[in-house]
Amino acid sequence: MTEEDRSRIRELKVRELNYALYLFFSNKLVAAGTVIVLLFIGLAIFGRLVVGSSEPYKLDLKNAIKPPSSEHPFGTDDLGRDILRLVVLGAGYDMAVSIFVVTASSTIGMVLGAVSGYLGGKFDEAFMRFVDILFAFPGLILAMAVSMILGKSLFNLAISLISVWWTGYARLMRGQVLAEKEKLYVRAVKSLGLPGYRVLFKHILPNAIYPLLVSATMDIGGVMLSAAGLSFIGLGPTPFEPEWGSLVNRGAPYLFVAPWVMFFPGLMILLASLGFNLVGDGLRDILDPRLRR
Amino acid sequence: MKLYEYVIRRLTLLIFVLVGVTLLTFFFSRVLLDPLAAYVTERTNPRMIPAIRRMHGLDRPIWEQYFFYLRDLFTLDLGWSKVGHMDMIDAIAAHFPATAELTILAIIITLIVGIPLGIVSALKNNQLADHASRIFSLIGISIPVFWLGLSLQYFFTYWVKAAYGIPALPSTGRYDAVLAINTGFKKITGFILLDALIQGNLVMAGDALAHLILPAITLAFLNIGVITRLTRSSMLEVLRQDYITMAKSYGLPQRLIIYKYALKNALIPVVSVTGLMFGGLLGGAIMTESIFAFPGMGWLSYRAIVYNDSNTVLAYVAITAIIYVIVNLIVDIFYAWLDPRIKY
Amino acid sequence: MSNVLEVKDLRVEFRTYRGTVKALNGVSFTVEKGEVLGLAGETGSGKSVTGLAIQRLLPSNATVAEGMVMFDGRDLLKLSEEEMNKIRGKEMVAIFQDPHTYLNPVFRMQNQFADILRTKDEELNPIKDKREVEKVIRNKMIQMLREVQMPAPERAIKMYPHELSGGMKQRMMLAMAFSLRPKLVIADEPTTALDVTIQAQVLELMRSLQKKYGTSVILITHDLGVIAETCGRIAVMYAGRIVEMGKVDFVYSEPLHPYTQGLMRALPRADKDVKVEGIGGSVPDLVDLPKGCPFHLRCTHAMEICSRANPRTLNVDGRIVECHLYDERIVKEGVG
Repeated sequence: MTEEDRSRIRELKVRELNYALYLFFSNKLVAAGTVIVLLFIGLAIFGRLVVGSSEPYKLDLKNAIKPPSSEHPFGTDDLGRDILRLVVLGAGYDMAVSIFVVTASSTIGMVLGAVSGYLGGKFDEAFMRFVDILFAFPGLILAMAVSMILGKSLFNLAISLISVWWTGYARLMRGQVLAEKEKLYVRAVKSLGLPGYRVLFKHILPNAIYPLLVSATMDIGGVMLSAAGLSFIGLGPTPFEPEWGSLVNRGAPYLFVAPWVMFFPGLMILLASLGFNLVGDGLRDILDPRLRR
Repeated sequence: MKLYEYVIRRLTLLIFVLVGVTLLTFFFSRVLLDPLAAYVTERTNPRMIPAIRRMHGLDRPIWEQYFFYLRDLFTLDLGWSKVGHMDMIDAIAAHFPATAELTILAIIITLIVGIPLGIVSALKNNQLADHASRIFSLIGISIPVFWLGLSLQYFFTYWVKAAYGIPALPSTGRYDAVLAINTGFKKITGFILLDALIQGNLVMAGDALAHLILPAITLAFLNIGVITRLTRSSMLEVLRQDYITMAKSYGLPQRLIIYKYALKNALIPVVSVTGLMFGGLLGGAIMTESIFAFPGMGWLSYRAIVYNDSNTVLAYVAITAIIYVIVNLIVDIFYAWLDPRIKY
Repeated sequence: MSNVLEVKDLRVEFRTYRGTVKALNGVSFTVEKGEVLGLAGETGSGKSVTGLAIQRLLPSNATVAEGMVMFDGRDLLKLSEEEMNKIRGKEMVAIFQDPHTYLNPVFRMQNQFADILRTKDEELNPIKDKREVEKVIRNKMIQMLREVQMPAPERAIKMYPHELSGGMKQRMMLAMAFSLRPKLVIADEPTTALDVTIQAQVLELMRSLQKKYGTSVILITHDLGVIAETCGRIAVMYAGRIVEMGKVDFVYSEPLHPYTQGLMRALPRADKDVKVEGIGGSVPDLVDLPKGCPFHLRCTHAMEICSRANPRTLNVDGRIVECHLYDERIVKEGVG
């Protein structure tokens, strides 16, 4: 490949990227979604600074269960804490859990699936049977079981979700690797005598990883809902970890008396998840080859 | 391969998967957790414990324990449910019909609302109706089930009455027991709505429906979004196909083309997704039933989590897995029947 | 002889992301009763678009900018969709190239075939009894299948499309097409997807059916051999225009238009010992057509005027040609 070829390829890639970005942002819904996501990420990272890290937890029983007012725009909960501040702090927890779970499970799934697909044979057979068995359990249910076994904590909640979600990525990756394995460039590289793991990780993976990345991005919203759900059932945080799901849980007993306690944290979950789903939707639209051009 | 051969093949596969499921649940309940917890309560005489251990093979090596576990499963000796206050198997029998009724109703609602919405979106592609349904679907898949349930509960069982004086829906429970006695209602199948209709007891049927409707909508909401989108994209894909052009070139009536030629093809992916949705419904039932105090397995599991009754939780896990596998088997067979191109 | 179809100055455009594709730029021809007209051209010449335009089956991003399509005394382009639908299937029918994708995969053949007869066959109208109607339909289907020499028609009709071979599927298409005795059949590459031996059979079949029922056929294909065997007249298309049209024997033995000459030279001949030659250059971009004659950039006889003005449609000894070479005015005035 000459230098000229290389620069031409770079040029084409840049044009592809520009076109993709154009498509992406020309869709109003997607643009809105990106804004929302960025807002929430900002909230997660900087919220602590604005709201203070211990302030929100101060008990103030005199002020308990007060409806939304100018002083407490989201009202107060049963311990007299300002819900708006709790929600802002909670952003960090929800975002962290979702992104952590998606990253970890996609990485694990990617590696295991790729190895299984590449090795093939008995190992692959056995591995896929194992994955099939895991798939026999509905996701949330299995996560619940794992969570019960590990013990109720936010971290264990994340682990239990990871232990369920990796299977999807493993299957996806395995399928991709199987398809790529047969291609000419793989045989070419193998004939050069490269060791298996290099062929897999340096050559096959970069080509096969594309759909996985898309899938992972689109999953963040779903993982957030699952995490909040498990948290709502009581499998996650302590009262000092204002994850949104558990906040809704705390508000549930007061539903008819003080609906705002459960309403606003839940609304946040909805908005954050919506943002991610909008972005994921836009991503899928760009990548649909028929809609291109 | 003929259809019945395919069915046989899938059934054998099913057995294999079920074995795997039992292995996993065995691993959870006997290895990772304290196996005695299922069979010992506070009231058990401590001197009985060694005998209990022997009976369930808890003093044997692990691989032998598995067979004891299987035996227990088959004889339906699943231990005691702390939160159910009765034998596990009885607790399941008492609570399962409610969940079944709820999930089946949820699926019916999902399909009855989602599929037509999807068809309309496809036909009015890129017009207002389409954009509206797209936003509706997106919100649907972003809504937390429990938040939706609580909101619906607040609104329809309290607020409509408080604000407008409209009679509200019941907020909890499955049916009005007093009403049942007064109208001479008898349980036949365990499905209250069905039983009421069979007996011609419309008052009771209405009551059952009133109790079912909010939780069912809560469960269905997310899936309606999914089905609508899927039907829409599937329909659009099908309408682009050559055989539709061919049908048009013969001047076949529009209705025939859409509702017979296109729809049958378009519904194929919808069928497989419906099976997968079932698993999500069983999971969502835990949250929904707890919010509406709907006395099903989900509600029982929720209490089991609160009171750390792992045995009950695992029982629910095992049951849902088995049901999920069977439902997907039925879906697969139906799918194979629907699409004659599938090579078995 | 009366004309079944008369196309006048048809112009069709497509809106695409790259701009407006001028697919048809003034296509005019007639089809007489009972004749088989071949519409020949390379990919992109506009031959398929012509077929679709006549049937009003163009995709949504296409517009008919100008033109008339007279069928049975009416301009098809001016009809409402309802009126057009009455004509489709009954008086005008299409046969497509790849029967595999053009038949609905989830319905048995008898289902699809019967639907056509049930909705369009007027002979069924007087019959009131539903069961009687189904019996008549079934008989008609079996009989039609026998006419197309379908082996074991009773079994074939119960099958799904993917269970039939390519040849059988095409016979099925022919059976369905001729079942309503249409006045015009538009066949778009009917044999391209078939083996050569089956090709011959299917063409033979089409010919005999056409003769028997007096149906006119427009045969759209890039295969000049197929046209030579089946058609009486040929219209050669290039870049959305008909550059030459006339009786097959004459056009093949003495092609007038340089493009047609190039096509004939590109055919391998078993009877003459001549080299096969391609035509240099490539088909023009239909979004950005060159000024003047669309072929002039590849034409070995190009003159100066060819790059400036579009040739007129000329009638040379009963043949239609669009080429400046035959324009007496130009030749006389020595322009070029």
